[in-house]
Amino acid sequence: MSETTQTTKLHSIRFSPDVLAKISPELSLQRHLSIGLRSNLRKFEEFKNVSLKETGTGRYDDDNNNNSCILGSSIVKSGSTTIICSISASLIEDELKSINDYSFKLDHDIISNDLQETINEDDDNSFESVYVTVKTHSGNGSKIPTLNEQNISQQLYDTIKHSKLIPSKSLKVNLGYLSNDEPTTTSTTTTTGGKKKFKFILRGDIEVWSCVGPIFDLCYASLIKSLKCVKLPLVYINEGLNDINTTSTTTSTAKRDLLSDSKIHYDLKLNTGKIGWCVTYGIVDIDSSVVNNTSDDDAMDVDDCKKSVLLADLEGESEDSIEKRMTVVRTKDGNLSQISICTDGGFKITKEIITRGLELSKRRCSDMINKY
Amino acid sequence: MSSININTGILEQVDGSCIFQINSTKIISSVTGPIESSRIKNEIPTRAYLDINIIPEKGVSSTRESLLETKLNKILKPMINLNLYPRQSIQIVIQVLKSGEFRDYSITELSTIVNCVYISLLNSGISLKSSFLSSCCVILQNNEIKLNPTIDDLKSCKSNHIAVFNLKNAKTDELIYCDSLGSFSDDQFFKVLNYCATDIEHNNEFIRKSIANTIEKDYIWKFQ
Amino acid sequence: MARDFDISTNQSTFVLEALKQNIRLDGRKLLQMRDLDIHISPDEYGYVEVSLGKTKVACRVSSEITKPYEDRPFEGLFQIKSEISPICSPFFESGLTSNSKQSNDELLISRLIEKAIRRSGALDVESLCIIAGEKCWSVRADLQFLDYDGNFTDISCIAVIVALMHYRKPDLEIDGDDIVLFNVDQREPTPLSILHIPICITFQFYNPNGDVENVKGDSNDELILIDSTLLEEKISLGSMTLTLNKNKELCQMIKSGGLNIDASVIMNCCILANKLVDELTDKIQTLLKIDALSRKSGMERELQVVNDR
Repeated sequence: MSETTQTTKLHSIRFSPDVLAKISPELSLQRHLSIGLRSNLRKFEEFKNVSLKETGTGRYDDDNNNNSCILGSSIVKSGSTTIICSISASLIEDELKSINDYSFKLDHDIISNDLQETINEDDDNSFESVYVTVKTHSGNGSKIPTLNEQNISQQLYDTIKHSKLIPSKSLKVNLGYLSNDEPTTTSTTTTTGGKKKFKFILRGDIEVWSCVGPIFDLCYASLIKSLKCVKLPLVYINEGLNDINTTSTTTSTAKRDLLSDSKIHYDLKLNTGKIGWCVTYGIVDIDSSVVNNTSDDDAMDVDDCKKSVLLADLEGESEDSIEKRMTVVRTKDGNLSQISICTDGGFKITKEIITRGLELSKRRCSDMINKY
Repeated sequence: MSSININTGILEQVDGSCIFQINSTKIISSVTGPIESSRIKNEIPTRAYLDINIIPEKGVSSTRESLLETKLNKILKPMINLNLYPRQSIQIVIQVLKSGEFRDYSITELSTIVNCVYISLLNSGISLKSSFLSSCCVILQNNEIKLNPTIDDLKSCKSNHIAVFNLKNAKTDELIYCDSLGSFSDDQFFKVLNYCATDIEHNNEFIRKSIANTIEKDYIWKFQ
Repeated sequence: MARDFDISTNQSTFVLEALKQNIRLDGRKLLQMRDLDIHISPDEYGYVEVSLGKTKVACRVSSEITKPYEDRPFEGLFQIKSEISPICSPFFESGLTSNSKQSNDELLISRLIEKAIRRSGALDVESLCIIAGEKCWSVRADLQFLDYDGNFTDISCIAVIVALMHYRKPDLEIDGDDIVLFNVDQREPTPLSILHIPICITFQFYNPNGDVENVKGDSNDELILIDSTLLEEKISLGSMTLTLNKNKELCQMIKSGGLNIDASVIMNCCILANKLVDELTDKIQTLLKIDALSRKSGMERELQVVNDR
């Protein structure tokens, strides 16, 4: 026992910046910011460079690729992060629509005119979205999507849905008609007034490699980029196949009778005014007194050493710990399509900082939307 | 005018509970805690773990519910004194009894959930940093802002918004959380925040009264 | 919370001693049920909140059109979701924890309800068929357990059956290959076809002399009680659930292990359960009748509008 009581000296332990960022991200962040630097050497409000490209591996991009089920895809690179997004589609029977239409035809006399109008208006106002699955490759090899991945997927779905980017009309299928005698080309002009109506369901697969910060912005960008180049196939009823199915005793699904053409296609019509760009800021309280507690000679104002700043495009471990965030999606027509702000119990989020964020997003969004 | 109906402390087995009904949305929530964490990974050395579960009106929980859980977690984290209960869990369960909106939307549900959980937390006696309430609204086609939208309003609206503010001396003080989706201008956004703030102050009067009533009933033996 | 509901020895002896003297903690007789309260939502179809003393359950029935199973083209789908969440008691864990004891309870309850209502053919699934092999109704009942004070089985069975009886699905018409669905304003929605009303009665068995005495000794003076509270349920030595309907038919009975009971005692239980089921069925039917009267039919509503003008 006597040995331990003799000398115990406390040494200050020194950590290299990258270790400190891991064990105490807040402190590391505060130290960087108090000297006006970010760990990635960008300015506070400086965005990261992003490059977007079409991959050109879709079904209709290459003549040799006709069996591919990818209708549009894109690759996004920003720093070390790479995101590949591919969009595929499937057909389902547009049940609700046909039901509504027919009920109104039958009960036409009961329904007053103004009700009819509102329904038509609804028709124009309904919008579709993309079912997205996000997968971040982090090396743990887990097959189950993490909570974060699920949330990003759902958020992307919500954002696209409510931004009114994809009108329901553009996903409706105009059924072509193909009989065995006729060549395929003539089928494009004949559309049957088939009773069953179909629509496309879009699915997006987003794969993320080496993510270093919040990835919602980049996922959104890649999804929009891919949607812009989606080419939907022409779908027609194969008469021959139809015959076989109706004679057979098994219950035939309507889907089996449909074929999608391997060559003829048309572009997905988007609401171009609603194409947007997403930016996420971290809002950090710089509290110089915490970091510079040794330098007592500074007679700074309290207001001066306690202020909030915006950090654009968060990156790295220390910045990923910021919980006070603001996400803005601004569309081509200058309007906002999404804002979400959450706080961490630190300083108040002032109107000034929100306005500043919105200002910045205006420039950035118009820049990026015009560029891509 | 919206009709709010609050019923506090109705459940026997949990520490705090509340049924909150506003228009056609009805939520029941329970708070239990601080309790021992059931899993070791949920034991956080410096603060309590928030175990949030949202059960939908019908069907099984999907990504929609898990996104709502994450949002609620973001809202509650700065509002609860989590540091007081290190290594323990606070279990919050929300059962949606009547949703009152389509599955593509979540604003009326989330805002009712926030209000309901707030009252449940008060009922459970868990230490809070401040009072907080939520409100939601939509911008209609004619650019009119409508608070507490109905299912038809949601269907035809241009954008939908939810905001959570904390309250200081019965006045809204600070923006805790906001989420807006749709198409709207910058000015409209700030206008919406002001609308929500006034609505929260207005609702707060009623909610305070009903909380005061419950507390009076709880301590009835003291006054008599 | 993974821990079980613990009861002290004092507490359990106290309850048992009281039971021996034909007294229960809440003042009931041994074979007396708690007050059943059914609240039917006045503004929609198929949503009920049922409470039995402090135990509370809500049930919502919903339906949609789907494709029937390949091997059963003439039948609609019917499923019951009974997931117990920690809202009713923190002893029930949330999520999928397969190895905990509580999830066994949950499994037992959902099996029981499944057997009592689905397997007994209370809902005519063939009437849910719209176009054979193509379209059918899929009806689902979502049980929401809100507060737990024993006897989940009986109350959830009542909740599901009342919600099913109260539910109205939209009226439809078949026009060639297409289904014409009418909304509530156009045509009065139609009720589901319920063939009979199964009601569960759960009995708890106790032996004041301990369960060893029951097997070895001669004293077979078991105590039997119905509609147990949480405390009574936890100290019970065995239980039996009977499902009967008003036609005096036994739809289902389950007695899995526990205390050995004389066959003649079980017969007596059946007779008692029969009486209770009659009372409960009458109660449910009167409630539904009152509710139906309070809702005006579509025709009346239209006339009302004309009158108002």
